[in-house]
Amino acid sequence: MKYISFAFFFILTIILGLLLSMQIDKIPPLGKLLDPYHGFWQNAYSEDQQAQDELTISNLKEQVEVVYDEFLIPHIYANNEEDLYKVQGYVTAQHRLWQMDFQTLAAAGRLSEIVGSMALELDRTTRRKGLPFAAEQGISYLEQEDPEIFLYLNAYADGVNEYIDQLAEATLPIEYKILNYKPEPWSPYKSLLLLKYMADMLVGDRDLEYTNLRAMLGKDLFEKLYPLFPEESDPVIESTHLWDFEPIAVEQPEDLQYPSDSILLQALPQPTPGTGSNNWAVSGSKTASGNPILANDPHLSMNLPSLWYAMQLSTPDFSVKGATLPGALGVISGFNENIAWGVTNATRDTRDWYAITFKDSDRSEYLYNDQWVKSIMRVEEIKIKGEPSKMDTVIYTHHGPVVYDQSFGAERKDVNYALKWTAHMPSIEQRTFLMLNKGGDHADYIAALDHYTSPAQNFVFASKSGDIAMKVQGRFPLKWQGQGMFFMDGNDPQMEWAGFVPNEHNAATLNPERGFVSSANQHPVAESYPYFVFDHSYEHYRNRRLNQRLEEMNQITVKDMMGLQFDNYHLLAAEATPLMMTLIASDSVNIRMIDQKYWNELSQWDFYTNPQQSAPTIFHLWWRNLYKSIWGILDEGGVPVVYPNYYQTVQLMSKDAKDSIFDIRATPKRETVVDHLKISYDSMVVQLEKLAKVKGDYTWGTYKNTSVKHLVPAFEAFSYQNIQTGGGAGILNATSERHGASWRMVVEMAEEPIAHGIYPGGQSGNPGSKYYNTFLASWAKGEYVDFRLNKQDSFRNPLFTSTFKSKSN
Amino acid sequence: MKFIILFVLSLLAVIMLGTWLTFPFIMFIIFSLAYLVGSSGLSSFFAGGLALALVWFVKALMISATTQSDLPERMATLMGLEGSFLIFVATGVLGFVIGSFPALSGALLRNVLRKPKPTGWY
Repeated sequence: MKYISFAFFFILTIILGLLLSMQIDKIPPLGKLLDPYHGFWQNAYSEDQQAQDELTISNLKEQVEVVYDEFLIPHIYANNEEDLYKVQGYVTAQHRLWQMDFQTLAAAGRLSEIVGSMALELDRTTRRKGLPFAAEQGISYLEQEDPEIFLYLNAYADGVNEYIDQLAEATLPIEYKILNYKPEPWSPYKSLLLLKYMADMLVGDRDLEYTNLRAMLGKDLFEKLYPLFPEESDPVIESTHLWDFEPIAVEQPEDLQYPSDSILLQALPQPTPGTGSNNWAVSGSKTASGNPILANDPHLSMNLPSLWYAMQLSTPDFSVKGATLPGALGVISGFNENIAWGVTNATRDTRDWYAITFKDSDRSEYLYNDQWVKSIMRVEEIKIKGEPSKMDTVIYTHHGPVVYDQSFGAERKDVNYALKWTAHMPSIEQRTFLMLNKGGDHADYIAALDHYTSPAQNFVFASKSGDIAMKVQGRFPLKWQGQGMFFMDGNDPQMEWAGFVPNEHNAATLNPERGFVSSANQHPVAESYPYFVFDHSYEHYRNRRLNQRLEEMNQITVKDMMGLQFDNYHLLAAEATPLMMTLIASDSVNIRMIDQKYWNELSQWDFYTNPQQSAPTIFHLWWRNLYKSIWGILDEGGVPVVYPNYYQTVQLMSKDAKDSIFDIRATPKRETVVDHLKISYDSMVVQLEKLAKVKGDYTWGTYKNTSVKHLVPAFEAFSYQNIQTGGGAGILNATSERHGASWRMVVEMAEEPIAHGIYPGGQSGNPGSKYYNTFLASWAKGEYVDFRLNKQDSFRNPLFTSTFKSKSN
Repeated sequence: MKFIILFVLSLLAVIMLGTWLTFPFIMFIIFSLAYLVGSSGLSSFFAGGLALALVWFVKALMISATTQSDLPERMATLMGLEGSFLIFVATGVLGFVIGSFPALSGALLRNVLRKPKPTGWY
């Protein structure tokens, strides 16, 4: 008996030990997680409670000092750049290791390894778009073409890996403990993956939708609804700018054939509307102090850990401060003693699709210029947590990877489309940022930008010497008029890009007469620019509001610029609401029947979108319903389409309320826009009443529900919801539900730069740290923290200091 | 008496070694201690269980008091527990489970290997 009872309890004990160390379905290994010596409890310590005065890492040339200010912003003082980037890697990993690792797993199409088969389709899409392929190509190019940057990227990787090597079970970031996996060593390849991840986040195309729309609507109606330039163009480079170069001629093929059938493919995810940014600089002639002021606020997905990580990097030769991307070298948006710069996405169609004809089912040869050309086969092994790996074969043509084929996104077996994208091509964006970090004047800025290719950006610039500038920089394909708006024939060499616009022909301006430069993701140039410029997603509202305000303002102060970043004026609403109200009121039956409560609120609205106002919610719902009501007709074909933009919709409404486009064909009556307005108004009333019942009120802040969420959607406990802040998509303060100012910076280029910055999160990536959300409340109120450059001995209130010494010293 | 000895030894072992050893090793140590002390099965079960429950519960409280972090609350929410106090309780209960079963097994092993007491001699 005693043998049996021993055996029973002994086996039970072993099973218990095993069960508590294992992840079972979605339940993390509880024994490991709750162990207060090693589990999540150990992540309750904030960084200042674990501060180390001295750290030793391998192969440091000289001692490096890191001083943290009260917000946990590290200021790194190194005597040479190699040490600087090594410690940048180490310090970033200290606070953001899990995020860096996770984002590069996402960019490599490897999320299934940690979250299981739920990420399989996402991983397949990422790989089929060629992101890991592009990073692999990039790394060998970098090694040959720019050994210096390669050396620094390796130094950064060494720093990250030194940190990983000394991690104990207890100090592992909490996400690893919950998801039960371990960090991987960092490498320069991962830094490149991160830049591809950014390109993927910021670049889209609508070739599939446009192809369908052109086939559905015919050329004339298509061009009317989707014009290349808006009527009231207010581009990045001022419309009056004169182009002082001889453009390269691009021949348009004579007998162009457009696909006439609709194409049923599963559309790829696009950058979310609202993803975009503002930047501007005003010259000394418009400021109270006489110094140029520069501002930048990139609007990206608001996540925790935050996308950005603030830092100062100093050597005896330069000191730079600003927002860094965990995983990338140097500062991305920031300033040094001499210059300041910032970025916004320079949207342009740099992704095109080619229909591929294969010789036979093994797809080893494809037709190009009526010849059979060999294709390359790349087998992607996607590892899946708890399941056997899946293999996905992707065919590469000289155009690029065949994303859509019989096994992905297409229903027909003969459908094969290859993606050509500038992000696939090798490039050294990293050099641009390191040169800007050290830059001294406008010439240095232009030289730095020459290395920049993708994702294209509008680089704003201001210098202590008084210059302001803007350049739209990227590797832009040379295209004939209309090229790449639709799917193209991969066999026809006339469909190839003719090369790239030379850097010196990229649109740029220096010290324009109007006294300011600005960008907000709108058209880069006016129609006078001699190259074909196209994208579906150009902004039409933030740019006009911004330029109108900058035009009016004089004696500008840093505070004024902060106010402009937080400007909640809704230009779309200001233009559309009076029109919508006038149109609906033109029918006397309507005006008697509509709900007066909301009508009155709208009539009295000042078109600002502060969180406590209700009118923005009323407008938003009415507008959204109206937009869907008018353009829903385009969905009837059952193929992917994209609706005309808001600006064009308002234009159509104002020009001809009785345009045939407003007719609902299913009814015998001939509808006008007034019918759509009435239907959508009534739906809005129902929605508002429901909203008031469920949420208690329908104020903008409550309805909009601005949220800053942890990168793992299931970790809601590490997220913040219902943040009361104003603004929205298309508004200068572009804070919508999940997108918004992910970083705000204002810098005055005084003798010593006066700088302020903020972002919706905190320096620590650890949800247990008090520095996880340090900036969030201030950010929501439009406040900033002092962001000046600090000398090693000039800290008023340092949190702690760490000295890095070499192990070999 | 043996209950107290095992309880105190387990307590000291976990306090001294907890930082260095993960819980499966702690289980092995409690198993060995229970074998060496040789208390009865039930007494060992509670001595080992209560020792680890106490250390884990108090350690969690101490971390919480030192750090003032809201992480226990967040973790409770993440794990579907209502209120952060339950995460402390869960930590204690898990400590009990991890301490008690090895102690019981250790005591039972001692019982198995114990030489039978000589009988029949007067």
